[in-house]
Amino acid sequence: MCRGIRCELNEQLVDDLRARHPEAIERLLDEYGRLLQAVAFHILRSHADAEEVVIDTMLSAWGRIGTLRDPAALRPWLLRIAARHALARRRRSAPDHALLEGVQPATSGADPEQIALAEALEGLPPRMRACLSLHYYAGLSVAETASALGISPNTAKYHLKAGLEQLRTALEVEPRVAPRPRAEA
Amino acid sequence: MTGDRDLETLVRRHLAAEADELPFLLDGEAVRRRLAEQRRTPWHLLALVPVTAAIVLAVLVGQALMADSGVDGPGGPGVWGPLAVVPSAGGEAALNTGTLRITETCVFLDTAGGESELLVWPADRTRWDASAGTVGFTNSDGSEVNLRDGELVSFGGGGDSTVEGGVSGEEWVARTQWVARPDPSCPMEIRWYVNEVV
Repeated sequence: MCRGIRCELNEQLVDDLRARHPEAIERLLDEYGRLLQAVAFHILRSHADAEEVVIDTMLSAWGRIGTLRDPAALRPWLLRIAARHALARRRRSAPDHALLEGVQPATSGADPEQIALAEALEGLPPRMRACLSLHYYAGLSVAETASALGISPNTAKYHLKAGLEQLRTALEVEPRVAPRPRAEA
Repeated sequence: MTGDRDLETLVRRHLAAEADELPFLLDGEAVRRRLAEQRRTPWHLLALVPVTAAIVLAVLVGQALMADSGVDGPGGPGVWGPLAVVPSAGGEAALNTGTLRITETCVFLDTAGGESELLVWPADRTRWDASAGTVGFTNSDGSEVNLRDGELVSFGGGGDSTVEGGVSGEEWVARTQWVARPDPSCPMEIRWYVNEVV
């Protein structure tokens, strides 16, 4: 049973998409575009590719809205489509695409911890980044994360645990503050 | 040493900070433009020409082999009821959980994610009981299970979808070698190949 303003909005949005109202795409983008772009960026580490994933997700949602039974599941459904588009795009593109592009949000403040985290995230496999983003950023449960990626809950748990371990190692290795040169007497 | 909770908080904050710093430049016009382009120019279909030729050849060979082995081909005697059946199971072992739906024409899984996924069964380990309306399945360890409509089930196996592979339901049906092909009315955007019943 779906209750609350968010649910009513989703139901209306899904109804409008099913009725093929073109302005529904605009509303879907307004409502979920930033979320989907962020998850796609976390997976791909490329702003340009993340934008493409959002567009692909909108097109898929437009074409497949008839398969969504429960409007309350719209958010995880969109996240699932976006994550799968992102992983498919990653498989098709060169692995160093993001590095060539050089987009590094959240490191502009030059906080050594943030830089270390960003670099460590880039070193993780894309599916592991997808798990981290869907769970820790988008707030999906482990079961929802697993379902979104088409993997078992145990595999999702493994990716989350191993991902955190690798990030922890990276943070412990990276010096938090560069040592100051000792003043000569 | 960073504790688990501290690290989780740090990761949450970092991912949120990355999201906040991303410029969001898309508008509905960009999506509508792409939608219009898709409708105008089905270039992706051109890429299917050599693939389609290979599939036609594979299907012809497959049908010839099935005729030799006595396996039911598409449009065969109907011993498979509403099941979509391929000659044998794949080796994948991902898990998919949901409610089994058996209708007069289709057998599919309603997943927790809110989608309906068509189930594809291996002929060498599946039986259709028309009188009971149940699916019999033999796992790789030899254990037998009987599945009914409305049952909560977990399937080991693997899936693909139109979103992931870019192959529509119709194209997928045309490409696949069938023992019993799915009814055109079935949900075919997402397909799950059953390998185990967990």
